[in-house]
Amino acid sequence: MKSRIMDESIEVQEGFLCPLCMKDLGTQKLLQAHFSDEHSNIEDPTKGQNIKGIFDKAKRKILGKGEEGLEQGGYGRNEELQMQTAGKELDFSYWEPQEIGFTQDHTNEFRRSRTQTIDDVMIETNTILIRLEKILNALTDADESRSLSNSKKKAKEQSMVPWISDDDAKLCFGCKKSFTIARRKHHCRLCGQVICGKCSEFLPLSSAATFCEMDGAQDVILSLDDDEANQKNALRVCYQCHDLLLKNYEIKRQKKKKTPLVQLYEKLTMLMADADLLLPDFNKMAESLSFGDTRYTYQEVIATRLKLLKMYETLEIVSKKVVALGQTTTTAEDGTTKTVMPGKSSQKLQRGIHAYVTNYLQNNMFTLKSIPSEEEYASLQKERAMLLKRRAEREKAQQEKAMKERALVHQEVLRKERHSLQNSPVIRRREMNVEQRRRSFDPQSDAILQQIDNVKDFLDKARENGQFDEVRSLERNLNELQLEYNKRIKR
Amino acid sequence: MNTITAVKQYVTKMVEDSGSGMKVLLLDKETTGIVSMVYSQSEILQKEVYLFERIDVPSRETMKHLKAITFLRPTKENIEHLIKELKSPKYGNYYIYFSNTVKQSDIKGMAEADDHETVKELQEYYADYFAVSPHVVSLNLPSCARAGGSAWDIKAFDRTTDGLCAMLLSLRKSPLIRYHGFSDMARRLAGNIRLAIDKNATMFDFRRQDIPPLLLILDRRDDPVTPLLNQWTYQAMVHELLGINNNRIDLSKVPGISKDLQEVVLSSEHDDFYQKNKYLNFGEIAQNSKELMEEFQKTVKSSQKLDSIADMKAFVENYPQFRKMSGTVTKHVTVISELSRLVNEYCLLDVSELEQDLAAQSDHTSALQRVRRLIENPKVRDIDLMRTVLLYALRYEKQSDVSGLLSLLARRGISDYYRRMVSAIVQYGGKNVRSSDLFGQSKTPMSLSRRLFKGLKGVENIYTQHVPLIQEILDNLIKGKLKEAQFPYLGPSQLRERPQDVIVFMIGGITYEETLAVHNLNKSVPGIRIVLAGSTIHNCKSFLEEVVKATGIAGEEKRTRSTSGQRHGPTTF
Repeated sequence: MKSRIMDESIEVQEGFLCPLCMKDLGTQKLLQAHFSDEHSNIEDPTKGQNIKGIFDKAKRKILGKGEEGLEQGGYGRNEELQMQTAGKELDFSYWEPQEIGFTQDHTNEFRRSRTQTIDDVMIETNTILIRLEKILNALTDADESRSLSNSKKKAKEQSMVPWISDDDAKLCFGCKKSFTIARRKHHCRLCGQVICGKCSEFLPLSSAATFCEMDGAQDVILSLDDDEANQKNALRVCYQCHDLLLKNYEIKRQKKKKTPLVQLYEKLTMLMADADLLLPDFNKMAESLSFGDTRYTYQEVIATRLKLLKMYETLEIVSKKVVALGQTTTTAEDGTTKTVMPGKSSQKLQRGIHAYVTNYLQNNMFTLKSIPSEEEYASLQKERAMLLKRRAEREKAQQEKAMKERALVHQEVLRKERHSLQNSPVIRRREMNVEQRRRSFDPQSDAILQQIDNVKDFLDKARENGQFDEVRSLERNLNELQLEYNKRIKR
Repeated sequence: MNTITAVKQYVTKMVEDSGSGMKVLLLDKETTGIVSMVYSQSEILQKEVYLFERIDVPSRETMKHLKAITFLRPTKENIEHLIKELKSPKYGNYYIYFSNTVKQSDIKGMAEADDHETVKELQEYYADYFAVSPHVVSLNLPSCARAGGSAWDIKAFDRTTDGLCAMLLSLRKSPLIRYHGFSDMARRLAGNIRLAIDKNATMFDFRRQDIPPLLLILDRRDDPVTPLLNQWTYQAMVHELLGINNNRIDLSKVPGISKDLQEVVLSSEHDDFYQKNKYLNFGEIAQNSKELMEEFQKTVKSSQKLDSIADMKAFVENYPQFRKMSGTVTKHVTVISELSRLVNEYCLLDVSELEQDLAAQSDHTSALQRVRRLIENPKVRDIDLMRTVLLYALRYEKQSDVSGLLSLLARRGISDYYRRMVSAIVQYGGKNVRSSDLFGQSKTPMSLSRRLFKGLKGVENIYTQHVPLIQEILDNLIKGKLKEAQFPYLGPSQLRERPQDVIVFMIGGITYEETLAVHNLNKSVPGIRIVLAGSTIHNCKSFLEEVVKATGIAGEEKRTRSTSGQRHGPTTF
């Protein structure tokens, strides 16, 4: 039985599908055109009406409507009950939040058990590698290797690797069979064990060099290979050593090599990260612009938007590349084209990545805030200017009014005081205080104004350079300063 | 206590702990279901999980650039598969999570196989059960008892213990245990859970709650009636008539079904309409689905007028929701219209009325007459006839005229197999087996007054008269009136206070009618949290299959079929 989750993954379709007929139309524009052309005359499907008829009948029966022996009152109450349950349904939710359930970690235990076996393998592999390197060096070192006779070569090899003596070996180390005239004894040049011909193979020096990653030496060895029979310049090794070398090489290669898919995927994640970083800044810009605010210039907002859109576009292109990966189309001589597709799982994987990106674009690109046109912006600016002006005027008027009132009260009080205490020294002192305070107030607020100007300069510079973090913190400063300034003015 | 959240949190953690990068989820048959109940494919895609593979499929592609999040039950076969996998790894790295406790020797075996050093994590995350709803859990065990007796099938016993322990660990509960005293199976399970908790005391050492949680183990045999009834709430009805399997519904037998609707998914986690309507009456759903369709049509119409840029933008912005909505509409309209077709074709309203009266009323003569009359009706399905006859046999066990009905059934040509089911159901859950007053027949003052009260209230809806026994048991439990003689505690400690967190497990499966009853209790009783778990979720068909297995009449069936070769075999269920 197939499972749901896998079935789904087969059927998943992504892209610009028409919601009604599931046709893939490739782009947003085409989809809209298709939708208005093909589906513009959807009226009540007759199917729906049929269903409705059946429903009504069933409903009447189930709810007891028209059922004999049941009063209308009973039905009414029933319906009331349903309304209540429906209302409650929305309020009730199931007991969240909750802590994640109990877990138990065996990773360390696993690693401990693994280290032992791994260590053994590692030591063995390393020994073989060192020996192989030595042998290769000796062979490539000098021209003497060429002149060396077979027996001398053997002795040289033996000096680097301790060979098990023939007399000690009764059985083949690989297949455990006894040696005969037909099954002769050989030595593995790497571990020194005695094996039969079937349990060993010749490792060409070129591959030996690749295993050792002696890239420079390879040329020399290749030339050696050219003019000699390859058997002579190959090393007899047992299968066990050969496997260890191969495995080690595979692991190393895996670590270094990046498949095209991995490269594209890295590009995708990088682009997304960049776009995610830029998006909040743009949202702030667009918002301020829509209020007719002049904190950002129109051009720079447009530029940021274009930058974002460019990123999204690249994302889409790269994700399309991902889908096409591994497909090769060849044109045969008779003109027919043949497309070779990658494996089924690879296809699923690539489509999955495409769907991931498409979803990301749907959430980000399609909901990107639009920007008012230049004329609109101009009028918005005017509006805001008017608004600000009006507000300023209103504030000014209020202030003046308040001042006047205060002055009136003040005069009143003064008059009264004068009446009661003529020429009292207290009054003179108070008048002096007022005078002093006014004077001391001015220089401070001047300083704030100066600071505001400075910060504004910084802000412009930061914005030009695109240092958005700085812009944000500067803006915060600016706001604080302005608040402070307003407070002081009011006082 | 939310089981969906518990499983989902585990899966989320698995997927997120491995960091960013392309991922494949490597699962077994059961964990595939467990994950798919809580995560939709598009949702898990957002966590960079692009591929799902099964560990038991050997011919998988090698993809070294993927991280394999491996989530398996710790079975022998799975460990073997995994060891083979680690010896020649197909993926770059393995993050291994087992859904239950792993043996030390298995950990060692896997470690020795991992000479490529691809394993990065090995953990136990106890998502070893199917979370159907926040308060509903199934173990997907079609049957529990060994044939011919009321003893556990050993595999089912182990799986149930595993599932329940995992549930307790995932919800962080170390409960007091009560069980249905009449049931040997309940007693054995309770004892085994206690043993498992005591053996792993360090794992079950959770923060003490003021009121300790309670695990109540029940047995289906005490209420064989509920699974026999036709249902009229959406979810229960779909299960009864179409069958729900891990939230999936097979519609391939629906006449004229289009290809992409042959199997649909109904998940309350990802489908708002279903979430809101699964407990509502059929009549209300019909109404609501009509509204859903009208709303959709409105959306379609408004999106046609793409005159201005603003319209177009709105369309594109709503596009994902729009697509989702169109899928929801077609799905529910298809399901609901199929339900109403079946209701009409098989006279289910008539059948259900009789069933309800059999279960809730007590007029023997009229009941017998009406069952006889139903057997005459050619439109009624065999299985529906069987329900009423089985209900009749259970309800009027001592005074019944079952043999008369059986001969009527034989005349109608209903198979021997079906007819033998009458004695099977009595053997499974007859009067001698049950301990509760299922039909309110006893003459105690309480049950008398209850019946009287029912009579005074009048019948609100003749199709929903029946109240499942579990509601009464839980009512009594909440009020502190559940008798200790009938439902003993395991061990010396008892609950003195009103219970707060209750996990109910029903051996032999639960029904959607019961999940609704528990939902209503959760909603209406403040401070109570009940999770209802069962070995499976039954509809009538699957329940009868379990009854057949438990009573062992299947063996006889084979003999009769080979001799008589009748048209109505058990396959027509």
